[in-house]
Amino acid sequence: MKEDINVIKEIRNGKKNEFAWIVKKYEDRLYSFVLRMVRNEEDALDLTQESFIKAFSSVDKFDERYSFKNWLFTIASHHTIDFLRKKGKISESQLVDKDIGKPFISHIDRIIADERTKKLEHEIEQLPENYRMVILLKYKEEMKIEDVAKIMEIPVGTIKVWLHRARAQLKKRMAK
Amino acid sequence: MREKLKRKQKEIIKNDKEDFEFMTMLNELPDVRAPRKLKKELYRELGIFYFPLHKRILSLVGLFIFTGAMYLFVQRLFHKFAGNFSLEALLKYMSLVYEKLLQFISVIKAGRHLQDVLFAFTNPWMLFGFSFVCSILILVFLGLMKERIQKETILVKLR
Repeated sequence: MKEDINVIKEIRNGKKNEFAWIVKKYEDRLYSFVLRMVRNEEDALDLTQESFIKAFSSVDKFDERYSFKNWLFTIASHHTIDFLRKKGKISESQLVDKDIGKPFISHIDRIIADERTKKLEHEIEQLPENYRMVILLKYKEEMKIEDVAKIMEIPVGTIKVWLHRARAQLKKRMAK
Repeated sequence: MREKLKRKQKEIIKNDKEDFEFMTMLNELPDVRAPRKLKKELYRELGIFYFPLHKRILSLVGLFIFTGAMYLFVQRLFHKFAGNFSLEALLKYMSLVYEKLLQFISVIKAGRHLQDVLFAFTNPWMLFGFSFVCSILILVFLGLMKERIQKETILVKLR
């Protein structure tokens, strides 16, 4: 069974084709995370690609003591946050958001058969971006609060508050 | 008091159970399959050569079928011609092929020269010059022939 760290070592030793294994392992998870954040399939595709490219080009900077998955998600999160910020600025300045009113008919709706899960997915979509990211990283990706804080570059206390509020909001909406 | 405590405990258990269910649901949210072009474009961008397992298997199966077919074909061909086979006949055949090849090459060369001539005639001045030279040459040739016939007649007469 291959381990991330062994593959990273091989990539560092020049076997760059091994990165295909990393892509294969994380592509769906990373794409899903980004898609749930940006709610647009094309943007999600671009951001996932950019994240992998960034990870590949800076693989030498990766500290082997930490989890590769967390590092990869850190890159993806930063890309996503930058993207959402830019998008926010553009939509504020132009007072037009092209994506408003565009239905988010993603693969997600097509593959989820369970109504309750569908509702949850929909409610996550309605959360503010910071709450959404916290919820997804903590519960979907099973990261520690400290790691989420590191990824989002925000104090642990704030993350805990956001998490509590996000959970409360979701529970309230789900109960409706 | 005891009942109040019991009610509170039940509430906490119920909340915990709900929380747990909720977290499990979040954790079990399905992953969306990334589009195929993600991998394709990514590998092209990174210069990675990646040959997926199913393609490897398909290629191997394809190669196996091709090799088998070739083997059977060659075997049949050999059985068909093995009876007539002799070294002498083979050499003869090879020399024939070589001869035909040389003939073919010479025809091509002649064709190329003919092409040059044809190109030359597309120029009217060239055609005129060529006709002029040819007519003079024919006249000279006719003159020479006449002279030779006369010489031969004289020699016959002398004998």
